[in-house]
Amino acid sequence: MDWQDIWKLVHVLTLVYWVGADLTVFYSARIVANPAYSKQTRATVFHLLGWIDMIPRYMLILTFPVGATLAANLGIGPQGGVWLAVVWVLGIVWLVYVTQIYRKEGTDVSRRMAKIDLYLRFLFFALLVISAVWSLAGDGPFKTTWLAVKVLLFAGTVGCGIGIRVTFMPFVSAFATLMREDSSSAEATMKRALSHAVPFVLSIWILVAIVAFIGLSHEILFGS
Amino acid sequence: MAGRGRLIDTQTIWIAVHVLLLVYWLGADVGVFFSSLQIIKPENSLETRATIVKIIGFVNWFPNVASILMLPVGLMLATGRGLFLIEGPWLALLWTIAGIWLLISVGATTQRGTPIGKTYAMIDRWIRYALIAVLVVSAVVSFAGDGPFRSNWLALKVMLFAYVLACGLGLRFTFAPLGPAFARLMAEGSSPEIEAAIKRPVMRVKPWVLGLWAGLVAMALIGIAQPPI
Repeated sequence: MDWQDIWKLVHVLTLVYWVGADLTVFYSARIVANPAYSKQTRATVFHLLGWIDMIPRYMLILTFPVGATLAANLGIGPQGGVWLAVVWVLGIVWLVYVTQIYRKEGTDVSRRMAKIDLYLRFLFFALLVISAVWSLAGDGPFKTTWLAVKVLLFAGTVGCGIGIRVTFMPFVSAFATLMREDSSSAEATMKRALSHAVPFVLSIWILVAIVAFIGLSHEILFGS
Repeated sequence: MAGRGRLIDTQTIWIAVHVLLLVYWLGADVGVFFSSLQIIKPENSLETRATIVKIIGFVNWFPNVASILMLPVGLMLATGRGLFLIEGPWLALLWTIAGIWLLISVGATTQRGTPIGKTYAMIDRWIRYALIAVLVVSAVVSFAGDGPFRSNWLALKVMLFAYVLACGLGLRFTFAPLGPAFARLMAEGSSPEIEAAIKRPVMRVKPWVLGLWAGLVAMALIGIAQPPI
């Protein structure tokens, strides 16, 4: 047993808590959007959902530095302690940032920070796609095809996460309206936002399963 | 490695399923755990608390099913690696037993509160007792060099699985008074005595949950590292 095994374990656990915790979030969101429940119930479930949703959020951010460490140790990712240190520092800063967005929820500061977070995700998505495609073309930072494909698919999950954020925005504001007053249009907005987010959620689950599959069996799938 | 060069071999699929079962067991458990902390809050209305129970009921399906499928899937992997003595038609028997256990366990949940549901729950419990005994004995015999598992790390995983099953039983026993207490809450409304009866099992279950999670993480690490012990 060595450090690489520990990193592999942590990498698997980021998958476990990402997809596993998502289940509760997904089911709870349907209850929040269901007018058959009282406002107090919907508000409490919304609060619970927000709390549990932090787990997949953290995992998406953490899985990349952990994976990058694994790749560097294998000699198939960007080498050098400086590069890894930068990835880890950025990852941890982003983690703290995301925590602050949650803790300040409902304030203007939180909304502004969430907007910046969204732009950061676009940037992250672009960087992942560029580095993966560049690697597939033969000269990028990821030295094996399977790793570049993994990074590309991971970019897909980041993209779907952006899709969820954008489609879910009306849900949050409609819910705030609903807490103040009864509104059938707010109910409709919530239902619509939820159904728009569903394809992105399902896509993330499928992409993550494929990414995990490649990670587990790249030797057989890609011969390296 | 057997199968190298082929696009996909069965071992690849079993590994993926094995990991996904961990995802739906350990990962979903976290939702169940944090949701359960909301049930004990008296400031939540009865409807809110009943709704949280409903959420827990749904999410808990995943650990329930995943925990039963974990062992046969793990044993398929072990057979593929040549680390498990049982092969061929005996594996079919293994899956048949696992399938029956799954049905009984599902029945215990869907028929909860009915006489048949109680019978299912009792059979499920006895299957778990028997399984713990069989797993511990076969792991110990394997350590001694003559058992069904041909590597010590696998025998250790099997031992830990028995431990996880035991934690699961401890969790059930600790949690058992919650159902009747919650039914009283729904029928009679809140009272300090009922609130205490609801809070007690939720708080006392924590060591079992944490013990179970630690066991699963340790098993995952051993599976990844496969140390030559």
